[in-house]
Amino acid sequence: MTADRILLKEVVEILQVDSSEMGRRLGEMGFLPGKSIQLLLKAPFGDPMAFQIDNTVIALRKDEAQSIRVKVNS
Amino acid sequence: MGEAFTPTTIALAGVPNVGKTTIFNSLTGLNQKIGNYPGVTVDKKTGVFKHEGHALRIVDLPGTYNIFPRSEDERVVFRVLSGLEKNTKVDAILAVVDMSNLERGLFLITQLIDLGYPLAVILNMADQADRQQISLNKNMLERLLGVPVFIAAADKGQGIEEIKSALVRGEFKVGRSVLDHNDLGSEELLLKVAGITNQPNAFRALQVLKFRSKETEHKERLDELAREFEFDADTAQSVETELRYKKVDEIIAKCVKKPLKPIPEISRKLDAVFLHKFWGAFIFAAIMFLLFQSIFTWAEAPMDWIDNGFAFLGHWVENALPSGVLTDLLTEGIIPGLGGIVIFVPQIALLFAFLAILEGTGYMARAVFITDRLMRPFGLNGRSVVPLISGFACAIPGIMATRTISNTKDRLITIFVTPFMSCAARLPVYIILIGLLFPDSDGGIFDSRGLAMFFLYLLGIVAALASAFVMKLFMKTYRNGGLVLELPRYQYPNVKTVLLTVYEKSKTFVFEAGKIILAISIVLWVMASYGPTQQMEAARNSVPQPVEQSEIAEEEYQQKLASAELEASYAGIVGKWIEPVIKPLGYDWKIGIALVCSFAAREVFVSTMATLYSIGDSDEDIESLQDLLKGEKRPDGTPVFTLAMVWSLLIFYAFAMQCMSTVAVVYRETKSIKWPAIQTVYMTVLAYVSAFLTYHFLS
Repeated sequence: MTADRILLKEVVEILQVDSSEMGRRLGEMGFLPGKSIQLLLKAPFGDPMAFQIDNTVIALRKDEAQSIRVKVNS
Repeated sequence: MGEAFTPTTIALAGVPNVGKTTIFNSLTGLNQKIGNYPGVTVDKKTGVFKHEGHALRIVDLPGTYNIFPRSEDERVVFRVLSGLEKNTKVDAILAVVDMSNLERGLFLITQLIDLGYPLAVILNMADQADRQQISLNKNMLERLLGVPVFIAAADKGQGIEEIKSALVRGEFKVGRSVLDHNDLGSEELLLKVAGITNQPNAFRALQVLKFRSKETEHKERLDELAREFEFDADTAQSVETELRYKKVDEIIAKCVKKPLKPIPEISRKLDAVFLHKFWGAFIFAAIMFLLFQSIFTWAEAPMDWIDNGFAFLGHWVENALPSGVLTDLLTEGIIPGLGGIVIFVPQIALLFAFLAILEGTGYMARAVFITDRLMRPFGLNGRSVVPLISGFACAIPGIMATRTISNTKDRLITIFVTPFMSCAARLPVYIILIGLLFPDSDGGIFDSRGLAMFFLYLLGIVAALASAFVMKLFMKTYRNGGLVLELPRYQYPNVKTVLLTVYEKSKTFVFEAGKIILAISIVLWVMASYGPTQQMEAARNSVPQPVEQSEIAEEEYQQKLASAELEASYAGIVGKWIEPVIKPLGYDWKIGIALVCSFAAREVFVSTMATLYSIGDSDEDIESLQDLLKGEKRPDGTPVFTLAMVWSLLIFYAFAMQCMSTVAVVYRETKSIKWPAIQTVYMTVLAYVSAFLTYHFLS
């Protein structure tokens, strides 16, 4: 599953981030395998989406969130 | 005393939203200078820090999350820190981190350490860390990094004095290298690269090698080496990111204690309101409305004072100096020209005060979040909304505000389309022309005049969005920007930062764009007041001297004289010269002159028409100007101002680039003659074609 499809308030663990230029950028912002992220908010039309990672909130567009593969904790 | 000394240069670095600007302002105060880095539109902020008889130069680097050059901001940081920026040599770095959010901050800090610079670290926002019960072992962090660490809450002025004395004492240390360069690339390769590029260590050599495509020097030699050693920049980049975050996590585990259950921040609760599905959009609209009101309405009074002040100054100079060409140049060219520059200052000041407050509170990132999706189909992004809305008041501050758009493509498109938004200067033109169309109020709720005005505003918005869409298709060569936007914590804006922003933006406009505007207004003045000597003489003689000696007759004579002179002037010649071109739009040479003079500013249309049709000065006489225009006949007896012609003129003013100040600002903001040229041609052609079609459909 990718990060753009998780539920509001859901906490998930990052499994893998695309090895694209976009993925590298996300990596530098802290989106790395093993980290937990939580979907805090969605903008009108469900895009962009705001994720909490560490102690920061970072907004990603849907296609950016799509490059993050996550594991749903359940 | 009196001894010469070389100030050492210190770079102030840090990720965005950590209070770096507040620290820069408290260190340098008003001793700041804003310049530009060559080739990019990033502000180069430098300041002098004076303390206990010492002086240091501080360069405020743009806030970036790392030193990898992707955006213009990052490119500047990369170039300065790799020693590629010839005029900005850095001796030491003062790095700022948000103490409550060390992960991202330390990522940058460890890169700065690996670059080999002497470093000192400020852990800012200590009060916030306190509130979230995050405790930190400062001595341990100093030991792990090998550089001095200071704790501060710069907003409240805490810790600043300690930092000041430390700066004076030169308390910077070269830290312990965090990553082993052997993990990042072959040692042999990096040493070779260091040799070629003159970089002092392997890590700096690695960065130059990775990003060699962005620089030209030694590129071929480096490409060759990269091939020889099978070096892949993307892989090296991913490896570095992963290893570095691992190190950062290790450091944090050793010196930071967080509460088991994180304390929820107030910002989350505020976001539930400001980013609420329905209320969020409503609040955004309300804030934009307030912003629009402020630059439209609140700026009106100070703009009137400036207008009257310069008019008064002009009269005073006219009376005080002996009459002559020089006095005329002063009173009719230079003083109104200067006035035409200064008059924008209230709008610029208000807009930037607003923007600084929105940025300072953290709301700006939310505004981008809300509008991003909406703007994307047009090749714009969330950051384009504020410049566009400001464009309703005046394109100039709007275009200046596009600096916050980090993606070059999105920024250029925003600059390109902002002048379509119906600015305040179009209003007097619209009022007088619509008044011609609908002389009397028809009394209903949907007054025809109001509807016409609404239509023209709507037309501006449609033109802006449609042009953005078209431009998006043409600008395929530019990279699309992602969003990846931090929503920072909500904060009280810092008053000093707001005031300094307002001061700097106004100053930049007056001194930089002002030069160009003044030059053009002098040219326009010369064109409107001079003509070939014989023609001017003939024009003067053609007006009969008044028979009566009354004041009214004298006034009438002066007006007729001015009108005759304008007709014979170079501006008049240009007006007649372009008559064949504008005839298909329904205009005669008099409107030609008004179009030429409008380039100084759109509202000049009204005063030029007034002069041409020999009546007193603009505003108070709008009614009579309307009557005069209505009575204006062609040689064959048909009225000049027909329905078709007036609509054609309205459409022309809605689309045409008739504002030298905008052209000057676009030139300054894009650093090339290409963009303002393309923009002027595009807008003028669009205006011409639309006006032509309008005229022919309606007549």
